[in-house]
Amino acid sequence: MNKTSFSLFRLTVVVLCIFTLAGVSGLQRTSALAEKPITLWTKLNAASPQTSQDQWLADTLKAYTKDTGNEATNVVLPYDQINSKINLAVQSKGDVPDLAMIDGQYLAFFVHNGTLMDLTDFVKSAPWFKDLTPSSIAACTAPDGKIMCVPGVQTASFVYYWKSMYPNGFPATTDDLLKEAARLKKEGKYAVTFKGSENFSLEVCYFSLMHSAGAAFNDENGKAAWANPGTVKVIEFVRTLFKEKYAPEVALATGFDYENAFKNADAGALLAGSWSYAFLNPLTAPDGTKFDNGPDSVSNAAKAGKLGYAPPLVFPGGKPASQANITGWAIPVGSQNVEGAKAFINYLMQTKVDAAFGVGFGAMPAMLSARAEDVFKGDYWKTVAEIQEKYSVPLPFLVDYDKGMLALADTFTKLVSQPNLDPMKELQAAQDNYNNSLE
Amino acid sequence: MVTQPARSAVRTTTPAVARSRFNRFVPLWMLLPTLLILLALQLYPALYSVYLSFNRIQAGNLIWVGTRNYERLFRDARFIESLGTSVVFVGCYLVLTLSIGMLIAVLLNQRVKLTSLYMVLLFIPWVVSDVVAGTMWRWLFQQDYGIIQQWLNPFTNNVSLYANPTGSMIIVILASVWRALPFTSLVFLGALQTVPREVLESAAMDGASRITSFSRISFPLIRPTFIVVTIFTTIGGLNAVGLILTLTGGGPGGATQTSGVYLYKIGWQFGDFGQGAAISVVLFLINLVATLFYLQFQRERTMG
Amino acid sequence: MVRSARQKLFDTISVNGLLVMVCVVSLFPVAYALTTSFKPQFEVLTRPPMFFPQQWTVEGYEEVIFNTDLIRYHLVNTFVNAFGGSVLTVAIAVLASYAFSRYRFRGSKVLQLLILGLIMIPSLTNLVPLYRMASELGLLNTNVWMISVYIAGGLPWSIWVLKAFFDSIPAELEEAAQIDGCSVLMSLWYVVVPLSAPGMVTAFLMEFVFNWNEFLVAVTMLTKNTAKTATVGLWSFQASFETAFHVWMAACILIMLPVIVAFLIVRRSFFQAILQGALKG
Repeated sequence: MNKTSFSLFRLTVVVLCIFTLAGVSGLQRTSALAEKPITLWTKLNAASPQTSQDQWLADTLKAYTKDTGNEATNVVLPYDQINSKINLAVQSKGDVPDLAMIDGQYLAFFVHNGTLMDLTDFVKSAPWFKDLTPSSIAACTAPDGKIMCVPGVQTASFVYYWKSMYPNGFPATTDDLLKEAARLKKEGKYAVTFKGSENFSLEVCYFSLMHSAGAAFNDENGKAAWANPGTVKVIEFVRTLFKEKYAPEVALATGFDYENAFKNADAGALLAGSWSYAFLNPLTAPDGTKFDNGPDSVSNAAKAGKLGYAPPLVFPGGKPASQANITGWAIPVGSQNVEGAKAFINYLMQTKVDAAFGVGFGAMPAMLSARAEDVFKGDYWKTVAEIQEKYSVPLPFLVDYDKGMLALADTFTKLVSQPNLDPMKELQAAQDNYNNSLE
Repeated sequence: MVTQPARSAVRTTTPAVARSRFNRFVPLWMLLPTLLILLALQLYPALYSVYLSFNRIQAGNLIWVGTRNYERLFRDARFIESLGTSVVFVGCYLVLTLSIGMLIAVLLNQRVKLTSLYMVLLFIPWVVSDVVAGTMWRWLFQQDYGIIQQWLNPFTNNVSLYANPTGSMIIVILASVWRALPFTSLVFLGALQTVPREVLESAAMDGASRITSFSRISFPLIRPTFIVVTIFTTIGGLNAVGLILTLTGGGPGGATQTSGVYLYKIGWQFGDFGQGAAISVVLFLINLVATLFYLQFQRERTMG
Repeated sequence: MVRSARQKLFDTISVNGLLVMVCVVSLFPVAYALTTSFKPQFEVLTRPPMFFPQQWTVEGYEEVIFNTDLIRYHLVNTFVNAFGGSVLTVAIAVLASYAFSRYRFRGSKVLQLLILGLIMIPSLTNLVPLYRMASELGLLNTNVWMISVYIAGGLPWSIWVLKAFFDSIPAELEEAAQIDGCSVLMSLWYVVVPLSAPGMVTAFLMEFVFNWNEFLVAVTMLTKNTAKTATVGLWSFQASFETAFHVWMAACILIMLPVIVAFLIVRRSFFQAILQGALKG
């Protein structure tokens, strides 16, 4: 480089350095200023809402500030990071949020690692305690009886299906499903689509199948006990589904791509739950009608008579099982503003607010008084309430829940993609491995 | 480390001025910032991790468990499996990156007219981030909407590669190689350019085919670089997490779960930081062994 | 064996042909991302998938630019972290490499090997301790911490590259300057640095690209939205924009652009440096 261009180069470097330093100090100041009363960590993007869930939080935070004069700041974390980060913050005594929104299936993870504060006294002495459904409180209770979180809404798993593809309603049992599936296959369609891999699969689609087949997940000590004939029966069925292409292969991959098949009416039914409500848009019915109304797409499609709801899939002679799960609030250990967090929880546990929570999430509010609101009289809500009442089953109790469920889920996936492996052998191996690797 | 042959002509003795007593400390001053930063932000955390591997964290408190984390680790079939997956991944990654990288370097060395344009275009994968690359490749192979999957459907009988254990491994290897090629080719190109043209020309005049002159002349001369690249590629392959995590999250049923990905799952997803630290230590030792192994190769060759 | 004209033509065609093929493979994913980013929502998920949009639109970009914080906070943070990190890394590495290159002292070789050996530590290893340190120092969600971590991570590579470069510059030049009255540091700044500009550019570019694209450290240390970097922000999009691939791809392209621009600006020096053998070991 000659002299002039080198000096110019040096000048540019210096200018950019100054800019960087300004940037560093400027941005640091901004983040420092943002520290105010309570900080919540959620999966919801309240700043620029994309779904009805996000919108609910945005509205609620505004209302909270208006009604009480307290500030509540939301920090949004992706759903696959939030639990790990809360745990990391607590274990490292780091940047712990005052309050966090948690999904009930991660309660076991938090309990195992001692991440959450014991809220038993707070909850039991709260005015809204008597108003909560027993099953929602149970979903927030650790194996040792302590209440670790406050339930906001209760979810249910069930089936969404296209009525024109299942003119006789969604099949009640797996045998019926196989018959219908053969018919749909001839028409070039999938019978069902669902999340077929990772923990989620065991909590939703396979959950009902396992219970109705009489398969156990665990024993009373939280050790794995999934190597039993019931599980093998489930695996055989799932294998059939994939082998005969009754379900799309993408169900075995990561992510939510499996939903597309239902959204485009390539699959007749979606084995999911109330949480999918907010994400199932736009929808295209088998006859081509489009429903692109944001969160109302599902209810519009149902009102138009195109979409129906059904209880989870079961084996003949079995009872459907819907995971008794909640989405609620917890206070992590090390929270700086416990009083503020409790005040916010009390605010949320008001009939109107909880009802809005339910509507935004497509789930039933945990508060009985909220359930009595008119909005919950619609078909969709009746389905959710009915399924919760009749078919709620608690999630499996495993000591290291995530590790165990992932081990079982991966075994399922492995057995499905390699049809020659012996199910019992693989299940037994996974079970022994998990039990031996516990602390 | 092997020095370039040309450097023997350069004096690297201490400058006359610096030999005075005061200036003996100059190198220390120059090294001070480096040493401080590396000690604080690399060495200390690493040692802390080793310490952590003998503990368990519960509610923010460390509980000493001795070698339990290691015992549990080696009893864990999934960890052993992940080591196997890592070996397969690194093996294929290494072979493909080195061979294709060398091929590209040879092609670029031919100095055809558009070489500089080719070099710029070839470098694009390098500037792409792990996460972005993972997202892009996932998009390419998506079952119903992925364009490459679409093209492959007639050959694979409509089986989705992405949802298939072997298929997803192939995709992961392809994506990783894609990202590693630019730099590898460039380094090899640099090395090839130091091979004196006269030697090659005289070999050509003596009747050697191009393949022979490559394997008998060029390659031995660039062997040191080759070994260095192998070391770095192996280490990169063993430690790589970002791309695989974004692309398949560990693959259908753990098919693409290399040790790095398993480390992430244990430490992050299950919150078992102690065991995560144990896996890190094991991975580091594997890296170390691999490096020493390669260096041994180099030493043997230069002595023999 | 003199090659005939026909053989030379065959050579040129085959070399060019192969290189074109390699370039196509290299560029294809990026090109597809580019064309996808210009598609409207309903064209994103089509069967069969189309390479080019039927209808070119910038709605993906609009969504990213106006409805997310990518431009406002994330890219700015990324720039600050990447640039700050790489400039400081090169500055510190220059000093260290000069010391290693020009001075012989006991333990020099061992120290160099140890520093280089730090590359063998898996990146995830240090995350938890670094997080703890950051939270104790109150430096979580700050640019200062990210830059420091990046410097620590980038020093081994940079020192190695720069040392090789310095080794190739004859010491007589600075000695001449020193005899004329320059101190060691002055001779470094006025003589050695300009000569090794390609090497410094190489180290700078390598670090800049690496820090720009870095994900794991950023996602661990940065939680607050205003502090996130672009790669972390992109990852957060997943949940928000499940099937809006055109928005994802628009974000990917926007994240890539500055790095590509930087690369194009310094490419000559960069290529020159590597071809001169900066990374031969």
